[in-house]
Amino acid sequence: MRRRTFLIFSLLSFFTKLYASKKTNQLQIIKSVLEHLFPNTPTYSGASSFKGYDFFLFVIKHPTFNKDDLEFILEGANKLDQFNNQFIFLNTKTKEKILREFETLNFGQNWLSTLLYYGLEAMLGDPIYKGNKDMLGWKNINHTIPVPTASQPFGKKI
Amino acid sequence: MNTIYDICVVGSGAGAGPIIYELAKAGKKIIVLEKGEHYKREDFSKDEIAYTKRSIVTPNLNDEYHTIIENNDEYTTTQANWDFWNGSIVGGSSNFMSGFFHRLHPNDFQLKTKFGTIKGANIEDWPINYEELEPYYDKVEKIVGVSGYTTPHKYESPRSSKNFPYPATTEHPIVHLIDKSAQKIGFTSVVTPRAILSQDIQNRDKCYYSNYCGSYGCSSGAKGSAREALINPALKTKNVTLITNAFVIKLKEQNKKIVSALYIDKNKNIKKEIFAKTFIVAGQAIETSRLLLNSSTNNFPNGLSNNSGQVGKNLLFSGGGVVNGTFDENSKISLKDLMTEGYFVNRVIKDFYFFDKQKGGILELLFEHANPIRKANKEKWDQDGNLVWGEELYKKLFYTFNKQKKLSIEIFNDWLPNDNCNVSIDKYRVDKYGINVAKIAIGSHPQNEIIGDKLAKKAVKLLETMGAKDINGNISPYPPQNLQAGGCRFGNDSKTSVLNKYCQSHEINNLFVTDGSFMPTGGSVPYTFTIYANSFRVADYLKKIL
Repeated sequence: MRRRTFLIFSLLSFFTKLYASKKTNQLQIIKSVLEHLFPNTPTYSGASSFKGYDFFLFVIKHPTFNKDDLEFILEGANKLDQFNNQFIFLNTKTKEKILREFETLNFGQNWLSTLLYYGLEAMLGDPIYKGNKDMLGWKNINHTIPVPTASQPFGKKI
Repeated sequence: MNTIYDICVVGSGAGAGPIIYELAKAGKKIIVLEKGEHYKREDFSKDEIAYTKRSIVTPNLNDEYHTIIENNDEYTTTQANWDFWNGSIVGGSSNFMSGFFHRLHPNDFQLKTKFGTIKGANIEDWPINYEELEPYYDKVEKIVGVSGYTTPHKYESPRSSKNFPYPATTEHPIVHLIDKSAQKIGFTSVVTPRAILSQDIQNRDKCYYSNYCGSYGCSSGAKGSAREALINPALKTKNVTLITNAFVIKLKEQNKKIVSALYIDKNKNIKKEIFAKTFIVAGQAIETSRLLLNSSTNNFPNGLSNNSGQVGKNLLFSGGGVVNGTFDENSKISLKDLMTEGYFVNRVIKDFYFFDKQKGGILELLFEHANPIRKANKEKWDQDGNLVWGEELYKKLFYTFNKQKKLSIEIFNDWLPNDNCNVSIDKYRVDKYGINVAKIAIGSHPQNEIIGDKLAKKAVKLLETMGAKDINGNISPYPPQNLQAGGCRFGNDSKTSVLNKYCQSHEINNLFVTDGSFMPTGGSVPYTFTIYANSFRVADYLKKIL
C-alpha cells in the first residue's frame, strides 16, 4: 500500500470510528434519558422493563420513521451532552435536576417532549415493535389487550 | 394484441366498488387499477403505530406529497402537519371509516333554490333530486350493510324501506344519559345508522366491538368497506381483473374518447398500458382531478374534460369541528357504566340541519377510539405547560385510562364551494415517480365557521345538561383531510360543470367519475354513504348503455 493510500485509509478509519463513537454516545444518552423519564417504580414498569430503548433502536431503522425526528433526537442528545457531559453517569436526583434545567430551554423542552412521545409509543404500542415487553406498558394503565394484536410489524401483509 | 376490457376502473374505494360489483355481476369484463395492496381481513390488526402513526396504508410523504396554498402562502405537506392520503389499498379509505351512514336531506339537492345564494360561495343545485337517489341509499343499506333503527325526527329523509336491514349495534350505556339530557332541552336524540354489521351474514362476521374502529381495517368483516362488501364478492364472478400497486399517471385520449390508462407498476417501476371501452375514475377527489389535469392532450390542452376550466374547481371538505366534555366518577353515570369499552355511542342530533332559514349541520356523539398512544401523549403536559414524567406521568395516565372518559361531539356542516378551494397542478414539483403533484388551495368560506360556531353552542348546551366537565372545543377553518369531495361537479350546464347527471364527462362520453368529485355541495354528513349510493346509480345507467 502506498503511503498516500495508507494515510487516506487511516484518516477514513479515524473518522468512521469517531462517528461511530459519537453515535454510540448519543444512543447511550437517549437510553439513559428514556429510562429516567419512564423509571421503574414499585407500582409501574419503566422503560428498562418494557424495553423502551430496544423499541427505539427497532423503529428508527424502518423507512417510515420520521427522519426529521431522528435527526432532532440525535442532535438533542449532543446538546444535552454539551449541557452536561456526564449525564449518563449521574444519580437519579441529579439527572432530574439537569433535565428540568434542560426543559427551560425551548429546544430542550421540544426534545424531551419528543422523547416522551416515543417513550409512550414504546410503552403502549404493539409488542411486535420490541417495546411493551410482556405487555407491561398496557398493564401499567390497565389497558385491554387489543384484538387482534399485530403478527407483522408496520402493517406488513401476512 | 392488447386485451380491450369493457371497463377500466381507476381506484377501488367507495366510488369504484358499486360499479365493479354491479357490472361484474352483469357479465362485463372489468379491470381495476389500484395504487396499493390488496389486504385480506387477516392482515389487519389493532396496531396503533402502523395504522395511525406511520404511513403504512398511505404513501410516504417524502415520496408523494401535495402542495398546499393557504391564503398567500405555499408549502408542501412534508413541510407541515398535513396528509391528504386516506387509504391507498383495495377498498380505499372506506376500510378506515367510522361508518356514520346518514342520508342527505331532499333540500341538500336544491340548496340554491331553497336558500338562495351566499356571497363568495359557488352553490349550485344538483341535477338530480333525492327521489332519484333514494332507491340507491336503500340498496347500499342492504348490500353494504347498515345497522340502525329509525327514529322519527324533524329532518328525517324519506325512506322506501321502513326499517334498516340490521338492528343497531350494541350501544354504550351513556346513551341513556344522552337521550334524557337531549329530551330535557328539547333536542331529539337520533340513533346513528352505521355501516357496521350487528349480525353475521354470508362471508362477513358481525362486529366484535374491538374498541379500535375508525382508522383501522376491520378484522371481522363487519365494517362495510368497498373491499369487503363489494370488491371481494365481485372478484368471485371471475369477471374482474384486479391489478394492485398500479399507480395510474395518465389517461390517453384519441378523437375525444379515452383509449387507455397508463400506469406505473410500483413493484417493477415500469410503465404499462391498459385498454378499455369505458373508463371510470374514482381515485378520491384530489387525485381524480390531478389525474385528469395531468392527462392533457391536443383536444384537451388544459386537462381531460377540462375545456370548461371546471376540473379541480369547487373542491369540498367538511365544515365544523369538535366539542369535548369529560365524565368521571362524580358524573351522572356510574363509573362502571362509563368505563364500558367497545360499544358505540350511536347518537346524533339533527335538529339543526336547517335553522334560521339557512343550512346548518349535525352533532355526532362518540367516544374516542382506544388509541392509547394518542390519548397518553395528551397527558404529558401539566396545566402550566411543563412536561410531566416519571411517577407523576404514570399516575396521570392511570387516572385518564381508568377513571374518566371524554365524550366528543363532532360537528359536521357544509363546506361551501368557493374560488379559494380547488385542485390544480404544481408545475414545478413532482413525486418520486416524476409526476407533477396536486396543488390544493384550502380556502374556507367564512360561513363555514359561522355555522360551525352556532352548532358548537348547541353541543356545549347538551354537554352541560349531561353534567360534563372541562367542556372545550374548536371550530376550524381548516379542512378535515379525510372528507374530500367536489372538483368535478355534475350539472346540466357543460360550461359550469364537468359531468352530466350520470357522472359522465360532458366532453368525453366514455369517461365517468364516480368518487365524491361529482358533488356540487356536500351536505352536512360524511360523504361515503352518498358516494356509494351514487355509484350504484351510475352502475345502473352503465348497465343500460353498455
